[in-house]
Amino acid sequence: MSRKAFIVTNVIIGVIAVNIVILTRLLETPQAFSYGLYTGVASGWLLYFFRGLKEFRNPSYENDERIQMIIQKAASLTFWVVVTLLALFVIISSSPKVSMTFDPREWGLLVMNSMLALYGVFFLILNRKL
Amino acid sequence: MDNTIRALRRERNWTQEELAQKAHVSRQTIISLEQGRYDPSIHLAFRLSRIFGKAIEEIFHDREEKQ
Repeated sequence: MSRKAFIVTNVIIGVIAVNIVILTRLLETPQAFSYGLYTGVASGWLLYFFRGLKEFRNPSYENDERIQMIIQKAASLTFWVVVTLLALFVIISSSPKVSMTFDPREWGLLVMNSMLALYGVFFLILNRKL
Repeated sequence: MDNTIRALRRERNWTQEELAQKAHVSRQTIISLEQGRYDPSIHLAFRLSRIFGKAIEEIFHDREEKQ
């Protein structure tokens, strides 16, 4: 990882963090939800920041071309599997024989959690195979 | 793609960790390369060629070409 990429990524995460705070305040989301979100973003950011600093001082080259390829493949596989599953789901849920109702929050959670879980699984599989 | 990385590394008595440090990659990448599970980018191939002081063709062999 280059210093430029590290700085740009930190700025992007910072902008996202500020926007999350503004958005949760404007939307008046429940306190437990907001603080849970802040804790998650802050811990992720700190982890990335200190991991990055350690990498500059003592390079381990863990984030090399092979890992980058695995990340790209896992992300691409996740995208296409989720798109296919969602397409199937839309067909099934459109049938009058199937009585299913989802609110937007449930849809969001379903898509986000399935993408995260699939990404993790694909990453582990590819990391073993490649 | 087949390669002679393991043999060349052993000739020089380097550990996988040492070669990984020289090539600026992780030890896991060296393991994958030696086992033929991962084909390196052209940049990494050139770097390995410089490290071993051999031509790329002497390190990497195309499986199809062999047949």
